[in-house]
Formats: sequence, structure tokens, C-alpha cells
Amino acid sequence: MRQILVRSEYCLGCKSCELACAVAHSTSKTLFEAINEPMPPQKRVFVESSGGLNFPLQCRQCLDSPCVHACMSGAMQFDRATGLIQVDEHKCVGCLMCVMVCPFGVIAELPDTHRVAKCDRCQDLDYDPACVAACPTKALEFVEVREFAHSGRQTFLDQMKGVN
Amino acid sequence: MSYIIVGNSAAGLFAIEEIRRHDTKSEIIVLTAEQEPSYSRCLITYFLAGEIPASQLYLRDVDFAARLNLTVVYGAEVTEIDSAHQIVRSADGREWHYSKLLLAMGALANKLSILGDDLPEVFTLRTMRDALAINNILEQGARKAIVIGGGLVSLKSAYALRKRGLEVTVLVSSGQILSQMLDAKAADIIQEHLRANGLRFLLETEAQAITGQNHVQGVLIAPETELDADLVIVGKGVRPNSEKLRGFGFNIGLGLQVDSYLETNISNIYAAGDITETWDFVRQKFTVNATWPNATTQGRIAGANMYGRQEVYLGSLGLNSVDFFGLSAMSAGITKLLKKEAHEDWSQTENLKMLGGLPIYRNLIWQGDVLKGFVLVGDTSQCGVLTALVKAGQPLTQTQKNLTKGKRGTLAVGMMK
Repeated sequence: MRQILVRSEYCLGCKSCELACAVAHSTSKTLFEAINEPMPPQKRVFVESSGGLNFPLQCRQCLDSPCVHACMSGAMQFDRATGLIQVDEHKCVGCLMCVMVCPFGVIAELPDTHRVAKCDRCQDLDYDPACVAACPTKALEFVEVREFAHSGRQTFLDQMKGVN
Repeated sequence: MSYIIVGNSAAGLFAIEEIRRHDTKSEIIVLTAEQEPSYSRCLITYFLAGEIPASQLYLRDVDFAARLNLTVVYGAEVTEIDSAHQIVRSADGREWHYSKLLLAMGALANKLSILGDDLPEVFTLRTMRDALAINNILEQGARKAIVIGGGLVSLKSAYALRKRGLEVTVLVSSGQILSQMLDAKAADIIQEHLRANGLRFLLETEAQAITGQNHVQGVLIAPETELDADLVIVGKGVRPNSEKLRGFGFNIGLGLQVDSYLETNISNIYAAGDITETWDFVRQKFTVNATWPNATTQGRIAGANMYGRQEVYLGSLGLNSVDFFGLSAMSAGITKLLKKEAHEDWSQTENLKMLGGLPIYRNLIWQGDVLKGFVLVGDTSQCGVLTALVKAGQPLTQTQKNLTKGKRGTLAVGMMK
């Protein structure tokens, strides 16, 4: 299964992914209409900076899934159809227990409905995650882990050129 | 192989799902004393408040039992365990044989024992049945309610009744609400917020008797002082439902005792959830941490081990979250310094500010450089990362400590470096 993986050394902290994420989760799906929607769309990716490090953080689909264990309404569940942890907005009551246990801090509160939202890997859209498509430096990739690792090895080899 | 799960709330449900993940064939029998498929006890007050319909209390879809091939027996209250023959028996004489047994029958609400506590409008709030009965009284037009107790369930009940338009008075025997969950300052902020939204509090007040002949009329709080009420809700905590297991050879302390695989002292019998006494890895003692995330985690791990895996349960953690009229509060681990600890290497970093008229309060509790717990009110976005730090129990450098003051995620990113 393809994962959203990050090359943090490429990330400039431009937040294009945040914008694209919010637009992808808007009603209109276009930036200019989205900013005027009665309920402003919520981004589910968060570019954080600490010292020289920039990093776009979104749901990592943890195997031990603390959010699923903390969810007392059954809204946060492993979804058999997509193979992902997804949150059902209709079942969510906004107790924020998932926010409380998410070690990456990537579950966002929807201020207007008092529900939570997190990365759904753009499952409802028929294309790759919007954040990945929007990333100008390819810091975000939506790839199989083995492909990502392969390109990592390739990079290593490229850097070794001239050393030997 | 035949698995029997006693109790179908948080711990039972997660155990079932975990067993089925590994074992799709063996028989799983679920015995529940109630008459309902798995529902969320924590959502009951949301239902009472009128925020969700009763149908939304259920945790899984209607086809859940069929899809997982479960035999669910409702109204089966287990009263006898014959571990020599691996048989459980219910109060009405039915019996089932098990290869692996999970005891996850949770906790019972403590009742008051004062005059008038048997009147029909006096309730504890633990089960869906309680909630439906209280809802009936509300629909009959109750106007004044008294909630006895200042804990989480009491306040969530009081909030729900207030939302339904009742006049609500909360009687708290100690001097602070939510004393298990919050420190005094955070409790004051929440109490003031609730007061501003119409709840009335009487601290250091005990209910002495509930008055009325056939129906509740009021609550006596002093020999000459009676408060009017049509409805009384008692929230005096819960106790593990382990009393009736005495006499079958279990080690029972504060709750049912288990080893680090969540197996009881009797082999092939496991325990999980609010009935269980577990190791609190922050407080460093055995206790009952009866909260949802602890129950589900214990259920999952017990399920895995019943199947035959060897997963170690590292321990439980006090963890709570509330939201009243738009102000949320969360806490984890140790939430206030005890006097004796103040002399040692314990310290706290406290911070209070106002933002847009709402208070933002945080108090982090440290032992040396290790984060042992925290209380957050208002802005709770950093909570998950702080919880992870409490769980990790690792000493932090000064730079990392400074990061705990930042917003969401900066801490997570900072810790990656």
C-alpha cells in the first residue's frame, strides 16, 4: 500500500500542502470559492518548523492506533474498505479524546461543527493526496515504501560519487 | 477453542475484535448482563443533553455480530466461575464452557445510602437503561434537578440537564470540583465557566436525606435547609464489579488483579477494563484507572494474549477530557503536587492567560526533567504530544522542555531532531 512519506530535507516550509489540503476538503474544491464558504475548510496537514527542520505532519496511520482506542463514540475506526483509520464525522461527538492521545498532534478540531478531522488521504477524491500533488519540491511523496527506500539508496549512491 | 467474553463494553469489544483479527474460526460467545449491543457509556450524557439520538450510542454497525460470527447472549449475568471445569454459569442457571475466558464486566456506580435514596426519581448514571429512565422523567417535565457529587459523570450529567433547560444544583462534598482530574486552579476556571452558563454549585455540602413520599420532593443539606428537586442524580464514583467474584479463588485487591499479560492468577482467565487493577506507570502503584482508553487497550492486549500471543501490557495512565459549553479541559498522569513531594525534586510550570475572553491555563508537573502529568484548559492542541511524553517517561533537555510551550506539532517535530 502506498504511504505518504516525507523528505524533510526538501521541505521549505511553504505550506502549499496545507492550502491544497484545505481546498481538497472544501465543498467547492476551488481556492477562491473555498475562502467564502460558510464553514471554512480545515487542513489536515500541518507544516511545523523547529530550528532548521521543516516537516509536514499528517496522520501516520499508527499500527497501535491510540486514537481508535481513545474514541468513545466509535467514530474513529479502522475502515476495512480503505485499509485506513478514518473518522466518521456523523458519529463523532467532539469529545477530543483522540486529540488527547495522538502523539503527532495531527487531529484537528473543526471549530464550526465541533467535530474532529484528520488526514483521509483524499479517499473521496479520485486522485493522489492533494498535499502531495501541491508540493513544489517533492518533499511529500505518495509511494510504496520499497520505492521510497530504493530512491533513498539511489540518492546515497549519487552522493558517494566522487568519494571513491 | 472457545472464547468467552463477559461484558460487551469497551474492553470486551476491543478484545473480540483483536481475537477475530487472528482467529476467524473459533467460537466466540459474548455474555452481557444488559440487553443492548455494545454502546458507549461515555456518550450517555450526550444523549441526555439532546445532542445525539439514542441510536448513536451504539459503537458498531448492526451487522457487527453477524460479520464477526459472534454468539451474543443478552441478559446473562455471570455469577459463578468453575475454573476446574472451565465453565461459567449465569444467575438464571445457564452454563457455558470456555477455553479462554475474559472478565470485562466493568464497574458499578456507587449508590448513596441516605434516607430517600430509593425514591423513583433518584438515579445513578451508568447504563443506557439509567439514561432512558432519566430521559422519561425529563420528558414528563422535570424542572429542578440536584446532582450529588463533583466528579466527571456528575458534571457531565449536570451539563446535560442544564442543556435540557433544567435548574441544576450540584452538591460537592469536598471544596473542589473534578478533584481527581484537575488541580485547584483549573477546577476554579471550569466551575466559574459552568456557573456563568447557569449551573449552581454548593461546595463542602453533603446531602443528608432525599425528601418526598412517593416522589422526590427535595434534598436536605442541613437539618433546616431543603432544596427543591424533581430529579436527583447521584455521581459518587464507581467500583469494580469484582465483588461477586470473591470465593472463586481470584486475587482481588482494589479490582481484579492480573499479571503483565492481563491474565488473572487462574490460568486461561483474563481481565480487562474497569474491573481490573493495573499498574499505573506514572503514579507507580497498582490502582484501577477506569477510563475508556485504558479499557480498550487492555481489552485489545488481553484478546491478543488469549489467542496465544505474548503481548505485555505496560500499564495504565489516568487520562481525561471534558468539554463544557465550549471550554475544554484535559489532564493526564499526576495533576497536582502533593505537599510531601514539593520538598523533593518535583516542580510545576504553571501558566495562565486570557485569549478572546476565554482562559487558557496549563500546568505541567515535573519530577526532575521527566514530565509526570499535566492539566490543560482552553487550548488543548498540544495535549497528544504531552501525553506521549508522559508515557515515554524520558528526561527532557532544556531545549525540549522549552518546546512544550509551543503550539501543536512543534513539539513533535522538535523531538524528531
